[in-house]
Amino acid sequence: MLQVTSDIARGAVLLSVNGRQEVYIENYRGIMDYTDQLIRVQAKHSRVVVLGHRLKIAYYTADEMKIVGWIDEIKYE
Amino acid sequence: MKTYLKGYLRVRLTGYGPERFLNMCQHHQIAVWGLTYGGGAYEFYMYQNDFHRCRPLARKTKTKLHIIKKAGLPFFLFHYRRRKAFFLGIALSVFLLWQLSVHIWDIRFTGNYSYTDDMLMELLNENEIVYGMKISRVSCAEIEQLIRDSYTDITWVSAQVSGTRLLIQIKENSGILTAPEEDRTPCDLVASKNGIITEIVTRKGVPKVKIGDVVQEGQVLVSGTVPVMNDSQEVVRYEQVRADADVVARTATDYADEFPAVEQITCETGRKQTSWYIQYLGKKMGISFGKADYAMSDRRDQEYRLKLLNDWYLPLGVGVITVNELEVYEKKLSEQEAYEKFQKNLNDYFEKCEEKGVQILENHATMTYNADVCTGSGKIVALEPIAVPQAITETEGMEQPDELNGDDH
Repeated sequence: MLQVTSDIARGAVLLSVNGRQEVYIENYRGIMDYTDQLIRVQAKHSRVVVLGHRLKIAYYTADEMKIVGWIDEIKYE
Repeated sequence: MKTYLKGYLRVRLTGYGPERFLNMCQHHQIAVWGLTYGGGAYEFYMYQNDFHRCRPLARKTKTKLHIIKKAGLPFFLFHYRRRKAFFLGIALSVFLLWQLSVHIWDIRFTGNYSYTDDMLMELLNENEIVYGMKISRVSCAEIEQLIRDSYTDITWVSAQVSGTRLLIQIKENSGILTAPEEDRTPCDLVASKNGIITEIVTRKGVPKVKIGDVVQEGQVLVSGTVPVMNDSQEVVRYEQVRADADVVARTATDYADEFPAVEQITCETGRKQTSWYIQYLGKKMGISFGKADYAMSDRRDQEYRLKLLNDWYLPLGVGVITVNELEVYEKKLSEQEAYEKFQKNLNDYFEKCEEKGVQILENHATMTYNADVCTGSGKIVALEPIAVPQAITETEGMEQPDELNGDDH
């Protein structure tokens, strides 16, 4: 049986960070702000803010987004 | 690859609500990638056919889309739409490559020694297996059967199509072994040369000599006429058999060798003539620059087959023929060189003797060095088998005993 945590089942945002240069965001709703130093993403229950330099959105689909660049900070609002 | 085939655009997005525009793209499942921000504008890639779909979204979000770059196959084709010959050339070359890949352009034989490539090629050609035939018409099993049936001493054939090549491997029977027919005609064994008997082992016949005897050439060593005795040890009759024995004698052979004191040496003069030819379907068309009219020459052919990949041979080949002029000059042998040659000849002679079962005991051969000819001579003492068969001619002692004749004399 597939084990899914209750948070994910409730639609919580899922972040995967590879080092300081890659972030995958899943279960997001939309992009609120995007500059090369800040990306603010709306999720179901919160907002995720990625701060850094030379930030780029490598791709985004309805479910997933990949952010590349130099990441300084990730926080929730 | 898929992106290139579909065609894509680099688009700059400016305006009041670019994030809203991006979210709407996501909502409408418009693929966007490589999104960057700089100088108050966003740039990203999107597929060519999605661009028309997002124009209403841009209007709705009060943003402006500006195409920076177009890339991909649809734009490439559109750009070169007037160059018909170019596309025709591409189509033709694809067609040509396809055509070249469905024919046999090279036929190779391996493992054949007594049957030359030309002989085998002729056989194949007679059976309509030729350069340029379609690969789909090649039946390897039939080729194998054909070669095996045509040449009975080819014991194994394997035909295989690899790329545009037909590879035929052959194993020939190195020699049909037949049991040697045993000669049963009665004979004596006689001495092939003078010598002193050192060993005699008789299997059949009556030995006429013993160890230590001095024998002359032609002397009977083992007689094939065998007396048959009765119980009283009297000779009843004679029977002729094929004498069989090992007779070894110590012999002295005169060794003689003669060779000129000058040696002919062939070397290249440095003058050479090169000509080229083009090979097409096994036929050669030559390009020659003048004719080489050398008195003596050495010709070398080298052929290069054109191929695209490892086994994708093309029907064309290029060959180079180099004709080197040769000259012969005579060199006087020094005494040392002459002696070396004498020694070499002598060693060759010894090797041949050993193959015949001759054991060399003493070597008294010496060399005489003259201005124009060198001679080697001397006695070679050896242990060698000297018995050779000879038809029975001697009838002495073969008369039937008197008492058996029935005469009253």
